[in-house]
Amino acid sequence: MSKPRPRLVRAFAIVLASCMALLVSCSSGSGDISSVNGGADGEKVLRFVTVYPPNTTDAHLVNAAFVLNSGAVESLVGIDPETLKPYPWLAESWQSDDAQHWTLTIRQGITFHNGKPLNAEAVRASLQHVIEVNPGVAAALKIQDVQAADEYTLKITTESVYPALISNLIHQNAVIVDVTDPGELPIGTGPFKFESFDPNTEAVLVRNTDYWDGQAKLDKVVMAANADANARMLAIQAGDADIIYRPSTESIDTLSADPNITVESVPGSRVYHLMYNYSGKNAELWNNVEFRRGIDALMDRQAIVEGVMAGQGTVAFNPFPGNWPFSPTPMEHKHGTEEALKHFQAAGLQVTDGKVTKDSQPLTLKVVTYIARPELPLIAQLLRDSAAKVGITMDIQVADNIDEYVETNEFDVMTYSLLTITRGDGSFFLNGTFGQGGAQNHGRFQDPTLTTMLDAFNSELDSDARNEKAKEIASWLEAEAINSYLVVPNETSAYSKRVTGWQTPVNEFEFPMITKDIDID
Amino acid sequence: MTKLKIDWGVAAVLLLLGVLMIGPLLAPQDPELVDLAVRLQGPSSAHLLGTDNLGRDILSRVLTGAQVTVGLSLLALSLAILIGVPLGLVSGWIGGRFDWVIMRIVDTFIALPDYIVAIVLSGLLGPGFVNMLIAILAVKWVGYTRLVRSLVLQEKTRDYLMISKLAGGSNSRILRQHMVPHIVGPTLALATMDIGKVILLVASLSFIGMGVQPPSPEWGAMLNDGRAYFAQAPELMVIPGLAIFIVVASASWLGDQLMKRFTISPEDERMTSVLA
Amino acid sequence: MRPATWLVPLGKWVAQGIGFFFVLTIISFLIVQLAPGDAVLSMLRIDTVAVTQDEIEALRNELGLNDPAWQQYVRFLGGVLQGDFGASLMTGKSVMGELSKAFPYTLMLAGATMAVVIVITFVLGGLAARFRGSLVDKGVAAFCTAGAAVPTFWLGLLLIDLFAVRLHILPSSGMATAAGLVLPTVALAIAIAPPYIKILRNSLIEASGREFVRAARARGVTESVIFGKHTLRDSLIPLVTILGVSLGSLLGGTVIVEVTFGIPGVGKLAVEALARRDYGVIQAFIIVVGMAIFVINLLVDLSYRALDPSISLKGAERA
Repeated sequence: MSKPRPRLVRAFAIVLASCMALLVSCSSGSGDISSVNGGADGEKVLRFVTVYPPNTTDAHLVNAAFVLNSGAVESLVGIDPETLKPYPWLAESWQSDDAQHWTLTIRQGITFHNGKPLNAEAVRASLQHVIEVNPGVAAALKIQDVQAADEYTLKITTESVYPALISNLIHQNAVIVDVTDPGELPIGTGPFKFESFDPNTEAVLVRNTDYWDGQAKLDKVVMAANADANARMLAIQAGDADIIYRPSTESIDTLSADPNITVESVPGSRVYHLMYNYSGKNAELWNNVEFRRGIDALMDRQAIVEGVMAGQGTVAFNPFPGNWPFSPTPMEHKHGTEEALKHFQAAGLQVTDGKVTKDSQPLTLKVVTYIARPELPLIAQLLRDSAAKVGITMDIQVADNIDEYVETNEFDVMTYSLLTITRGDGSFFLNGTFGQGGAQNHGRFQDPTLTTMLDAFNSELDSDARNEKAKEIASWLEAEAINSYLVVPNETSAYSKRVTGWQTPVNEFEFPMITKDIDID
Repeated sequence: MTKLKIDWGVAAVLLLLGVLMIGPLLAPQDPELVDLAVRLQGPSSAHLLGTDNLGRDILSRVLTGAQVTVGLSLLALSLAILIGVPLGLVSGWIGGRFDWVIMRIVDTFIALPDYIVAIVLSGLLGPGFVNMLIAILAVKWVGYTRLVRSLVLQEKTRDYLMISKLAGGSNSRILRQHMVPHIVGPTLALATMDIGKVILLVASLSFIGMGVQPPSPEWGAMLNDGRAYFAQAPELMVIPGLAIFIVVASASWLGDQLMKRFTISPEDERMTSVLA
Repeated sequence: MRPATWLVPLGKWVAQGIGFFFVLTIISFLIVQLAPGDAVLSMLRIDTVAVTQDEIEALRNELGLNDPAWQQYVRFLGGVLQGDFGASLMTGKSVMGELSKAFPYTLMLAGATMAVVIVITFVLGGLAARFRGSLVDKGVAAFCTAGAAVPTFWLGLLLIDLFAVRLHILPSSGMATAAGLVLPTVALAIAIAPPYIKILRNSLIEASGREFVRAARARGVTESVIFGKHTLRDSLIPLVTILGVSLGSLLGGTVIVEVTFGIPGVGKLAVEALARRDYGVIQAFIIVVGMAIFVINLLVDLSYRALDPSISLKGAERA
């Protein structure tokens, strides 16, 4: 054969060397991380990874609550994470006699991050702007007119009697920012201000030394989002994050075992449930209360909590479970095949050898589920398995976009997840699900008793009386087995043991997650 | 490599594919049977490859998933060939305006990368078996049309065709008797190379949530499900990944062998490998 | 004569480009018309705001989503011709702005991947050709088979697990620093490189066996000159041929890698836009990527001509 070709070998050597150089330069790049992570000497830097990445820096349009969570912006009304009661935030107080004409007093002595004072006019401009650009907030606030009456007095007129206004001012897009500021960064009034904010990578926030309510303990916060639960887990394990919101249920054991990490878990404010279709092919079945009770009795909620949610959840029987001001008194429920069969029999179905038939035909029902909430397809499978035991076939259909799929009305049961307790009030859930033309009334359920109760709730201004009315509705839904409320998934976070002052919020929509009280060693 | 060796290799690959196709019959358990009492267990005599987060038997799921993943891929590919080959044949043979139109359509499809077309289509149509079939079909037919058309153009210039045409042979007879034998080899080679690509495409779509949906035990979807449990139970992710890897590697090896075996010119080979 | 040979194909390219552009606008418009759903539900924040069916319809009307298709297409085309793809329904920002923010990430990823691919192609392809039939050759062949068969996202996850979780030497996701580029680049390069390696190997072997190479060798021309002047040049042509096709698959591959590694490039943007039904972004994505690939193919064609003058001659003859 031919002798070795020196030039060839040399060419490869050069290529190989440049390959090495590339690798070396890349790995030296990795050194940069630690310097970013550590921050300057003595500077307290916290790195936080939440779930949903912001799609924009615009606080009024951002689809995730990233901006509110960052602690840079504040709203007129806040909500206490422990009691879920609204409290005066940028608004010092509010008042209305008819729940349509509102007077809000703006807190004095507050400035935006750009030094501009916060007054009624700035608040009016902010509200006006959000209503114009965000149809969702417009629908939530139902503001017909907003005026700055004087320096610190704001007058709001709603389209109709609307006691839910105060609660809806907590909406994450209704935050108050200086809309006259020409920059890209949201200019709020919070304890931190944005130093940089790239929705694609991360936001860097620094302490706002002019904050009206004390000084933040941290110097700097680096906040990022990753919708991939696995990536968030990896981030805290690898030390790239000090706090992560909502580690996956599966990773909780692994993270708890880590001596440097604390895992915190609180009951959340959403309920996983089965929604029945009262207007589909099998409407007759679903409009029969005993049939609904039978299906409900098939669901072993404890098994869902343990099996599907790895213990990270609480059993529910109505939309407002827990100890909130509008949680109804629990009722007794039995479940199991025997119990279900009793109800099916009472519903007028035939039960022979433990199998249910209707007009001597076995029942086949269609369950629709979706994967955005990974537990839901699993719940659908549990339903299918328990239904199989009583001879009912459940075909599972996994929908891409559940809210679009259900418009076809081609389903009998859907697994669903909704925030039931929003902004300290049941109004979103009750109206969205059971209100006239409600966008989430996918089962098209209508009942005059419910409508009457809901109307009374919607026009009640007094918050205690309002809670009582919400409680009544929830009890009625539970007693009538209108849909099957199953479990409240826990909200979880994992954080480094060096972090203090962190509180896991019950949902990601309504709270500033970064607060002035968080500290890190 | 001796001929005998190749035959053994091909036999082994065919055997593997055979096993995959009857996978569901071999599955020891119902692949969708949920048993929360035995979730996330390691390999045991009851579950040879352990169980997943719902206590489902991983071996059964991998075996059944073969039919979903490989079956879907083969089906899509067969449809692509059924559409692509005749179009290429006719387009190359007739030429003229028809050919021009077909080739412009082909150019448009070729210009857009497979993955992007498939992702956009299945993203818009929504996940599911049929939609995924449509998405794969949409990206795969062009390769065959282009390959067959160029083979036809190549053959068209040969003397014997001229002769048989002058002798009054009908178009369809010439195509059947002279063209088809020439295109079978390269088409088969391209198809075999494509199997692997399509399987990867199917798995990738499922992985980003646009393909086959759970609880169907599609490998890409299984792999995605298993991600969350990687720390506790790496096999949930590793096994479907390995399954994809083995099948794709076998298929592309088989494709290589077929390509070498069918006497096709180096240009054909290059063209085939570029298209694949 | 000289300008004519260049002008004719140029005119043809421009005509092709314009034609292709219109086809793309029609495709991207139709695809969205045929797709189910729209962004109205997410715009109304139905996750957190109680809205009614009436409010949903009202917004659809306001956005012109209920207008006849041809009106919407004319509006769409008018915008596109001015480089305006409208505002992203979700962010309210211009779609072009969103895309141009994401493009650098994809370009960086694609560029770095191509660099790595070229390096490993020359190293492995060269070694395999040099030690043809040896263990090295077989090893390279095995690498090619494995690389082409391994699912990119799976390899990516395994790399993340090894380097980010267990060894803590590289970040698990994102591109906050250059180090974030390493794992995605490696994962993608392994998937893309095999055909290049195989082709370079084969053509190196083929070229070194050619008559003129043998003749040159017999004349006593040194191996390095032969390699540089003949073998390498000859072998580059098939390599460049597949470059065009493979840049397309590279762009496709970046989508999967961007999703796996959380890189905010155009692929991830498109996948998210699909999920959110933000169709303006998807339309722009189809048109921009389509045109980008058209341009790339043109460049490949040009470099092909530069490498092999006989082709440009042929082209001129044909024209």
